[in-house]
Amino acid sequence: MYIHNYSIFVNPPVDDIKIYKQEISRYTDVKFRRANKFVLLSMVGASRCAHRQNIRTNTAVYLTTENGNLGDTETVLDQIFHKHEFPMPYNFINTMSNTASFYVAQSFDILGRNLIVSSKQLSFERGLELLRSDLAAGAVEEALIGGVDEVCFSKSQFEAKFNRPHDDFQMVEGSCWLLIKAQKRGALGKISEIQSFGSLAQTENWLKCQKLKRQPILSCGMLIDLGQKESLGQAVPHEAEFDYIGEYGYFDSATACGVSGFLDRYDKACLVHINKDFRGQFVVLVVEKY
Amino acid sequence: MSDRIYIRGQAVSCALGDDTERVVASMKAGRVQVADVPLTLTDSNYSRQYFLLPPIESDRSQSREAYYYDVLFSTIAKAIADAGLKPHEISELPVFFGSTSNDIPIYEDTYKTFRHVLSQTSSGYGNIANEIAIRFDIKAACYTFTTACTSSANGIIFAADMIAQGFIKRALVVGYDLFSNLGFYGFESLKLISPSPCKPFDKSREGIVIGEGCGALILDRKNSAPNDFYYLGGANICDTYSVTTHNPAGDQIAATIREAMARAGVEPRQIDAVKAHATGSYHNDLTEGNALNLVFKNRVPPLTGLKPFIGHTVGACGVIESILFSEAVKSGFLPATLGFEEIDDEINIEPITRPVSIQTGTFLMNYFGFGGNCVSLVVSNKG
Repeated sequence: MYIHNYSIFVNPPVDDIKIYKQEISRYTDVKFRRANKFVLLSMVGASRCAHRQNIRTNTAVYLTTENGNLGDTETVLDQIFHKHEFPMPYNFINTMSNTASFYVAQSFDILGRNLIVSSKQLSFERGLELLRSDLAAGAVEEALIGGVDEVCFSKSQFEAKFNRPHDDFQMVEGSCWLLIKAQKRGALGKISEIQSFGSLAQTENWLKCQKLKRQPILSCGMLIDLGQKESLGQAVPHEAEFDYIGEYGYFDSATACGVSGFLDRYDKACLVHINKDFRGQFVVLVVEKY
Repeated sequence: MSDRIYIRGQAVSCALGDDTERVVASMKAGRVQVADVPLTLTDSNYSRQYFLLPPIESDRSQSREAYYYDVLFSTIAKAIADAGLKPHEISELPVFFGSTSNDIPIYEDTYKTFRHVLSQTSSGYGNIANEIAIRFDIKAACYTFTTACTSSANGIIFAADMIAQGFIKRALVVGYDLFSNLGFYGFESLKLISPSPCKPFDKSREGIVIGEGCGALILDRKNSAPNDFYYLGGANICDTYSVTTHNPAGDQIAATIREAMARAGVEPRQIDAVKAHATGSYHNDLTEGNALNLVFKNRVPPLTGLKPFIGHTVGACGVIESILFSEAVKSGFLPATLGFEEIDDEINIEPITRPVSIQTGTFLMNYFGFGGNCVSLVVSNKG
């Protein structure tokens, strides 16, 4: 899985989506008159990643997200239950989050596989697993894969979900993408491992057996607590830690930001990213930057 | 160990019931059970048909959430039992969940008195699959697909491909959409719901009739019976013509069908019958018909659509219709397309109107959705 380009877009939550439209207009002439925030957010990150990349017609789109579109769903439910009206057709259509992956495909005129994938706290990692399978099967030769989420948490929600102080984090809306190809030529790096484990001990055992070419940079997802982080750090001797959530802010598919952020900051380096979900499933990504 | 990816176990809950044998018998007999649902929330003085799950006594005392999970978990439990999975096999079973409405049906009732419920309480698209994993003590990955009406069909493709590539041993694929006002009033706002019974490909078709349902499949390299169905190949292509309709010429749908057949290693002449998406809407039937005529050079194999029996179960239809179609063939027939009377010269597709005897074959199954999503699967139960 060779990485040919990446993008990072993170922004504090905005009510006015004009700034997203302006950002997109730097990359495409397509007008998004009735697009909602989730569509525009997806487009901003995807446009940056695809810019000047000669995207082929058969490129696939894997849009990974924790929550997808929330705004239009609220609007439609409000129209039905409180205004007692039929929803506006475009609001209803936009409740289906795959409108976002559709507009990404339409903007770049690409016809390949097109997916919205989610997996509680591991959406980007599971999307990468599906892409790996498609590449192995020859169903896909290149793909845009992104992690996109709006800000959706109140303070109380965040703290109830993660058991961590809300004020310790900057909440952002994020759209971070990779252009992945089966072809090595011209790549700036690769995803060399995606491994899933059922426990911390299994994860550590696997990490201890790895012979990485160089000491990696270590980063961890939101649910890895301090004790686990320390333990994992001992299992994989590392050059430095990369706190991408502290640096860029938090959104629910932030792993994509961690990978793109690593590619942006480091050269000739290796990233070991460890994340887990609420069931205690761990996923390790090993990413190389040439 | 076989190279084939079999449907090792299945279960379904739909408007015709939750006993697959009885559901298939009803289809053979041409029985349907459809409700009239008034559009009271918009103070409209008319109703539309909806294929609701048969009521059971315990429903009335349950919260919507408890009912939602009851239907889901009981269907999955039956599929697991049907496959005869051992505890360790269940534990390592990845979950592939496809739905259009996801958790909306759970939250809707609260909207009668509150606002902003979803953004304040929703646990994300991945939550339902996560709940399945917790309920069945599954220690494996969960994947949730939300590609509108192709959601669970995509689940089948990815689960089968991951098994074929050796990344996983077997998989649980679930398609689930329960009644939601959002979908009901939303489709009505698009003028897509038919005022009359669903009649795919008919000249006087007037639209879709929605249904609710849950289907669960266990995919595995191992089969339970000699005539079990196996997956040969599938394709997912995006038609960027429009977010709501596919290109009426059918080019991209034809490309999807061709790619699925190529991946399955099957020529058009080897397809014994087609399970069409066949929603009964003007555009979908026109586009699908044009695509089929392109692929099969105007000699389309025997074709049927299942939505007149159970409604359009939106994101769940991938799994539910795969089960009903394969179980019907295993019991000896291709189901008829209820409601079809008059050929539409604009499409030139004539589905079968009576059950046709068949025991084995290789079949094409189509699924399409908003967002340009096109999915075709090729399956077989030939020895």
